[in-house]
Amino acid sequence: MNCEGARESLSAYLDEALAPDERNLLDAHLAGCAACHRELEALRGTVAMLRRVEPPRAPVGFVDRAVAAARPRPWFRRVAEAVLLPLSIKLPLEAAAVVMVGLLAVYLFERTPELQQAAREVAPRPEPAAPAKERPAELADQAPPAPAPSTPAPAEAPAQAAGERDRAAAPRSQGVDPQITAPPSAGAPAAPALSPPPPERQPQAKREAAPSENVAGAVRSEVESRERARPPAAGADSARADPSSTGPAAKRVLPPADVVARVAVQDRDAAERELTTLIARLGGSVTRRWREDEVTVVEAVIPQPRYGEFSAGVARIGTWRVEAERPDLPAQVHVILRLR
Amino acid sequence: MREAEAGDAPRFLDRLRAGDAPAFEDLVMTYQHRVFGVALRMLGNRAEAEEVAQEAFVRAHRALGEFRGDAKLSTWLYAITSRLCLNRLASGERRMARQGEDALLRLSDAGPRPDAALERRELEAALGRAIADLPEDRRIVVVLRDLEGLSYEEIAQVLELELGTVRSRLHRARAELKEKLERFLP
Repeated sequence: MNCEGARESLSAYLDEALAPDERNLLDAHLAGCAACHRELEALRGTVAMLRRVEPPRAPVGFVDRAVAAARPRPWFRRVAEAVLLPLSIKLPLEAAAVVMVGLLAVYLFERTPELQQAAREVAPRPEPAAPAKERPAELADQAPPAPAPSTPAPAEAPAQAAGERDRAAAPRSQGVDPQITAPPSAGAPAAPALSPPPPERQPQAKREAAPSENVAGAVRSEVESRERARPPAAGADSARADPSSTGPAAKRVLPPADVVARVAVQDRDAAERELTTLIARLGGSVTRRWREDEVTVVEAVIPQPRYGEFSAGVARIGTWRVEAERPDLPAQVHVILRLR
Repeated sequence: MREAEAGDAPRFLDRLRAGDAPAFEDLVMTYQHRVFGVALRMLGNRAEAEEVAQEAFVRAHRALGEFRGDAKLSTWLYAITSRLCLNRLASGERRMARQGEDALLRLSDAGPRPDAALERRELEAALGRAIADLPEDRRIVVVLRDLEGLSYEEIAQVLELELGTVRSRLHRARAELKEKLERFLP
């Protein structure tokens, strides 16, 4: 055996994988060849190094993942994967889903303004009895902490129901208003005792039956009337001076009005224009306006010293009927007018 | 205990063939490190090795019903794993990826290492690189023989090669490794 042949067999020699005769031949060669012997030892050292290598370990959780991957999937999932996995199909579907979400959002936004509009409608209802309804909404919370005024209240309520602009002192009106405003569940237990039933409850019944309001609007109006009722609880003037006292929700929906009035007009558009001009001339400003099917609502702020001129001007635009008015008007009078 | 149960006992094989889920889990648990080890030594990338090892078990699961038991279960699993690795290495995409890996390995091993632990780490890194540098047909043979401890006959079975071919490939592989690792030899 020459060195070349011997070295070809060294690896198998180390593994004892040579046939006996082959092994004997190699043993004989190695005994007389120092170079092949050194080669054998180097190879032995290399193999020993290899066998000392720390065997790698599968990562933690591999068993679970492999078992889960091997588990046969339901037929519908296989079909779904076959259909959906190609990006050419999957991406358009995902894009379509995004568009659908967007359309849904737009749809909801379209609906939301209607609801908000209905909720904003804090002005009195068209029914004749509405005046008695609206003022309480502003002042409702004054009733529970003030049971004392209950005595003068019965005399006051009819006056309010008639829509008088000249109010008696606040405590007297407080006793009446909550009774009118609060729904049966509004939690004003003292109120029923304070109210003169006939003049107040009939308008309430009429109002509930009013066909012009949709359900959502009615609910929002009710909520809003409660929200509006809060500021006066701390005193009408302080509420005006510090709108934050109404709370963020109340502020966002509508600040408390000082005057709510209805104006019967021939031409709503023309009346609205005239009203806008009038307000501007008096140094006031229109804060908000919106239109509904049968009514245009204008919210404005008028400087209190010019309020007399304002009411006179509005009376020229149409038949002006005050439905609710705060007894002590603040420096900036917040007015809500419903043009019909 | 699991090792014993997950061997080639006829009852265990019957359970596997019948699709018994706990038996398959035992099989994975028993052979996971070996299958993963071959894949890692062949591919040099843990994520890729896990992917291939998982695929090996998935294929084994599908084919268990047809496993006759002529070969040992481990040999059969090595055969599946080796084939998957070699197929992957043969793909052009994979060849390009490996060039980057090799460059990274060389960079990570730069600098003096006086510490014994670091020297050992250096040796292992050098071993890893030397194995990775082997041609794939030789690499799989040396991995199966010197790292996994398979006999020549088993390697021939796994790779469907003649015994002589196994022997010569192994010899060349070891000779190459010796050249590259000579400086670590005593």
